[in-house]
Amino acid sequence: MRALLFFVTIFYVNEYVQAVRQIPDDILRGNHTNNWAVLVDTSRFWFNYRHVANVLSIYRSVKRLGIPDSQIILMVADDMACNPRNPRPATVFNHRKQHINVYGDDVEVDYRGYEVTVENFVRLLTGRLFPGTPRSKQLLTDEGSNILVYLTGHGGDGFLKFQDSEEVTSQELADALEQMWQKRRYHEIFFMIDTCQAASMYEKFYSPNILAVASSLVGEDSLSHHVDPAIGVYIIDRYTFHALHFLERVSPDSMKTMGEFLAVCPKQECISTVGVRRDLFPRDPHKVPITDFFGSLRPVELGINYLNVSIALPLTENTIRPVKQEEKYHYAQQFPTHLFQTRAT
Amino acid sequence: MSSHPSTTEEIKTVGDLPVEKIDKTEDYRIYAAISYFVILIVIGLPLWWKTTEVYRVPLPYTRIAALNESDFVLVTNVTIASLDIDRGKQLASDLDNFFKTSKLFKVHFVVTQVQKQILASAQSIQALELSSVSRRQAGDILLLEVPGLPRFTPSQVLVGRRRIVYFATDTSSVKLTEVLQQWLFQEETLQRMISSMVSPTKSELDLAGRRRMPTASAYDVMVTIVNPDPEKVQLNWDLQEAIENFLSPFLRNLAPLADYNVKSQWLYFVPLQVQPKLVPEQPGIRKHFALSEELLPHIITPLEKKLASHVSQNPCLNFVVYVPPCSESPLYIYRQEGVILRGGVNAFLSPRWGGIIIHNPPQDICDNTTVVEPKPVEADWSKIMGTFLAQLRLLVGVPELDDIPRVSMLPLAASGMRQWELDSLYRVRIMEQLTSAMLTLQSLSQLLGEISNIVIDDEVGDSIQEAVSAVERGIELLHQGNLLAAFEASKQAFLSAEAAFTDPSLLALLYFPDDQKYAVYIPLFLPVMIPVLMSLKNIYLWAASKVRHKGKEKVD
Repeated sequence: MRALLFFVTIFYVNEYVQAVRQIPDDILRGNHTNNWAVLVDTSRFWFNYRHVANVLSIYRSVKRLGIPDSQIILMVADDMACNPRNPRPATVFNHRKQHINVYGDDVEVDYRGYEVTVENFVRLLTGRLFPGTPRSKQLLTDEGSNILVYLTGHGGDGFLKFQDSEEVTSQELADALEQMWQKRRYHEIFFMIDTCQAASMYEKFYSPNILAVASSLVGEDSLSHHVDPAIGVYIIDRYTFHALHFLERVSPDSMKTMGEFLAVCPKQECISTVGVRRDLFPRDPHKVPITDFFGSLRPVELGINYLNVSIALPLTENTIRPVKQEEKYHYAQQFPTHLFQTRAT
Repeated sequence: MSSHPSTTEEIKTVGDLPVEKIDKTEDYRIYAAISYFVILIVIGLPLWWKTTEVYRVPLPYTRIAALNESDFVLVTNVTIASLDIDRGKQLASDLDNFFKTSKLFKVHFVVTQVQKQILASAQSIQALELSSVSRRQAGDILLLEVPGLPRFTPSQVLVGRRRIVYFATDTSSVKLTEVLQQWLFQEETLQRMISSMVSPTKSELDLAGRRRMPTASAYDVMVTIVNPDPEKVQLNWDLQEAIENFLSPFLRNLAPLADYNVKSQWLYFVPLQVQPKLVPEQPGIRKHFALSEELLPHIITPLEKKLASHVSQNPCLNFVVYVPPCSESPLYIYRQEGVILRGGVNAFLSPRWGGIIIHNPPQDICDNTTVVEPKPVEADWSKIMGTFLAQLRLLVGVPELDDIPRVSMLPLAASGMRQWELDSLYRVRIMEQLTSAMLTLQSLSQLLGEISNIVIDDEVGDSIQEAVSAVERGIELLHQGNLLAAFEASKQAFLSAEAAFTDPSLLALLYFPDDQKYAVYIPLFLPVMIPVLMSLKNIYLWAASKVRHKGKEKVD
């Protein structure tokens, strides 16, 4: 027993004495100050279950790696968890073996159902929202924010379909991102898109500091992964399935880089070719840690000396705090007969 | 059937009708064609163009483009008071030669003579500060020669709390230039900030700028006390009183710059979510827990979810005090190299977010087994609030200054801010707001100029006009050296430009692009217009023949 304790102590001392893991300066002193995520699912109807599962999988990873809900804008166009056709209510799975319930119990959807429109999406990106929009529906980024933008749904050559009734074109998206750049509303953007012919959406980008990855090139279709026989619909897309597989093995202090993430779905798995646009991104993706976009690690500074402050005189002795009048509340009368009482004669 | 001729002249006839009548008919036909032409093309076409025009308020495009050319020049007055007027003039000319090359500053030097009696009678520098010297306008500096400076301090130059710099008689002008350039004017900071705003992809990282909170008209300061185990540690702290005593005087200094709303909260049962390493007892070192530098960001991330700092839309500065229980204390922060953090303060800062302090319970209370749990822990307010104030100063934008040899500063007063530091803060905010307003206006004018379909309503037009006027006013006031009024103007400019840019109406493109406009109207009107246009030829021929006819008649 004592020998065991001795060895355990030696082990701990050894741990401490060894230099802590050598982390390159880039990770600790990243140039960004905060992280945001904009995750959009644009399809409705039960047979597009897989798009909702896609976006919820990414939401789950991003939240697990540390981005708080107040900095995630989640737009889901249709409710699959509470859909009457869902045999397992309040759950959304991304694998037929139901490993992970990506809906969870603390999901916070900011734009739901019919609120997911092209207009709202562009207003959110450019910041031209109506006054009185709640804070959870606003993208309050600044010039130090890294934003992860994930779009999924049905797309085509140069457009992405919203709600089966309208579409956003690649030119509109590029212009919206340029408006963001003009107002310095982002530091770097990682743009992920999982639709058919997805690469056409990022081809028109012209603002700096954007790294884009798409699940398929122009002329190719992105395919779904597998069908769940119990539900009868495809429940996840190939690219997001493999992306999620990669992200599940990432922890908040992981050393993995964006370069590894960009190579996540080779052609034999995904059947479509993953497209990457890196000419607008100045850094080498193999040197960018994955937590720069998917996690939220704020930079930290040490070595602050404290000020020698002393209060001139203890103010509280001389000030009299105003006594707050307690407001008395009472229940309203259930039957307000006093309103109808005629004056007694 | 021929009609009776109304005149007695001979009437020629062609067929049935007399020639004159033919001419008249032709004339009437031509008159009809002319009236069609006038109504459809001369009146109708401009009317159609005007009524299908998008409502756009005219914008001052040229004034906005002119803003790009104008440079922001900060005018300051520096008074040099020395015993010997010639020495003063020499210093003034040396400093002037240096500051002539400055891009942002235009410094006027004034030389006066100082009274020796006042300087001799001063017992200390503080007394000197409080006594004679008159108030200076915001942004101005007084360089005061104090012959007896070695009595008070070993440095050659001493920068006071007010806008006064005391220098010894043997100080060189180079040293004074350094003090003015690096400490008082901080031109490099301003330059770096402007270049990072105007061309962010080309400029290097501005560390002080990244740390400084973004410009806003109001900020929230949230003070949180985290007690992970209230059953073991009891904190009976009067947080409100401490905030009132320590933080409020500092924030009152900053009141003209922005509103600061102070909130406080207590969090219980919230652990650190990282595992600090246990460092066992060693000779000379007690048993303690080590928190290494790379674990620190992982403390902030899960804590942020509990802090509720996103309730309002103002940027929030979070200050957290974490009190570990006795079983996990003392907890010390270690630097990356494995060295314990010196200075006795277990605190760290995150740029644009706030700071966290780890307040360990005193060892004697922890070791004392007679004290029953929950053990009461007293607050060391001067240390805690002192650290918060230091962090708050950095976050608000007062940078840490590099040391200059043989130059020192008077320590801070209770208010926590020196007057010249406040002036630099004003300058930084003014430049930031003016640059931001200018960039926003240029971006807007480019957008609205290029896309001719966007409706520009009155509100947006008014905001843009206001913003442009405010920027011009701000530049003018900077030229006059009036910092406070220039700040008001720059704030007005910034807010108006933001309001114009984020106006919700700028998104609604009237779904009326040019090609669609033509595609709708051409099939409707072109068939009507073709005969009218073709009849122009006939009108021209008729008019020409009329002229010839008239000419012939005249000749006849």
